[in-house]
Amino acid sequence: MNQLVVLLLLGIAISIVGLIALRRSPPALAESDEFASGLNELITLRGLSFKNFPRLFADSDYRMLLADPRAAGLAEELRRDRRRIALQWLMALQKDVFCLWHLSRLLTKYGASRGVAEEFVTLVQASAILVSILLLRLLIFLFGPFGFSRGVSRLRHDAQAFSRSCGVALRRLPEGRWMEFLREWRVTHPARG
Amino acid sequence: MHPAWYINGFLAYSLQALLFWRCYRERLWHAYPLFYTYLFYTTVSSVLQGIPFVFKHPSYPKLFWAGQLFSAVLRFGIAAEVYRHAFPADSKLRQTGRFVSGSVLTAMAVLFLLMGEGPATSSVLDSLRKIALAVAAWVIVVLVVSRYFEVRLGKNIWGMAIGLLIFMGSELVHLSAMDLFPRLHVKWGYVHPVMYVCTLAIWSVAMWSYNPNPRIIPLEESQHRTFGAAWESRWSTISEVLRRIAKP
Repeated sequence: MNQLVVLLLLGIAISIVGLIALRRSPPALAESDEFASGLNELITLRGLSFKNFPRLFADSDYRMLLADPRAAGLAEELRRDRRRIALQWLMALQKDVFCLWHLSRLLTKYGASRGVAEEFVTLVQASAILVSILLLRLLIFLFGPFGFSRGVSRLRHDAQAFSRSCGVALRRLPEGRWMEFLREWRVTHPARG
Repeated sequence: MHPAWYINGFLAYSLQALLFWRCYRERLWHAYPLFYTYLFYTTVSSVLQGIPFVFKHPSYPKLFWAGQLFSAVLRFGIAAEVYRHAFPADSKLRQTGRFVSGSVLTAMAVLFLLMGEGPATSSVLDSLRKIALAVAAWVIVVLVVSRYFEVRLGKNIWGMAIGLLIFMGSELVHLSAMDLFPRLHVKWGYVHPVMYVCTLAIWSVAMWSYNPNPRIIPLEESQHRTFGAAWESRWSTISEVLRRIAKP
């Protein structure tokens, strides 16, 4: 009798633990690392691999230096440096997007596509990211890197999503066509591949 | 039968079909064979149980309980799936995971042995309860150990574990109430099938696409050197900036 009561209570406790755990996300989301690693074997995404970009666009150091009149020159130097690095990073990100777009088209050619609708979505996605990059490069060139952190963050998120969708498409590549695909990819991308 | 049960049954079949469809599209079978074996078995048995010829057959009750027992054993497979993905063969924590899981399961087996057969109307019911508790304990141990060592679990394994845990809890209440409180058993008899559908829904979301545990990639010697050099370079920059501020 006692045994059954204990089991019943344990059952209730386990259900509650399960329901509480359900409300929490996994300890750390995988964020499709598997797809990313599959992609990384093919291409080096220099822009996307740079993780510390929020620091690049944060103006706290700049403001700190600006607060001291003696460090105003240094602050200006910092702003110029950050602008140069930000533009370089955006350039690298642009190259990544072009590279991923090319990869996506090649995957379609080798039978990894799910149809015209997906191709259209990819086209729109890639175009939107590239237009955003160009716009941000222009704005950063004109006004400096500070003040665009939110836009940059969204842009990187979109680029990451695009990279993931390419990774997913890569997994759909028919096994029999892998070697052929790799050969063509390495011919077209000898430096990155 | 109340129409709600038809809806519940329809939802269960739909979710099972959805799980198999996603398995096919995402080729998840290769990654999680034990999970899909259980799912396949339960789907087939639930379809068979819906055929009038089957449930009207005289040997149906005996087969039903044997099937339930087999299904409970297959749930060990899901727990094993969670375990082997949380601590894969190349993981440094494999030994620890094996030791903790093994110890807990052995302790439970010894405890069950010492307690003897429970006050159940049938030994099958007693076995089902003990299996459900052992499966839940194993899953909890794996989740706790992986949490302790900060092993990152992917959406697939996390959803699989949590869904199973919720269902095992409900199963324990259901099976215990059968012998303990017949009135609770009747009431929980309405909740339990809904809990199964909830479990299937959790699994459907978790197994929508392939989302495994992230790989742990150890740093190579060259990377160690690169990071060290970068750190030193940044450190020297900071001191330079400070020096310039202090003495412009």
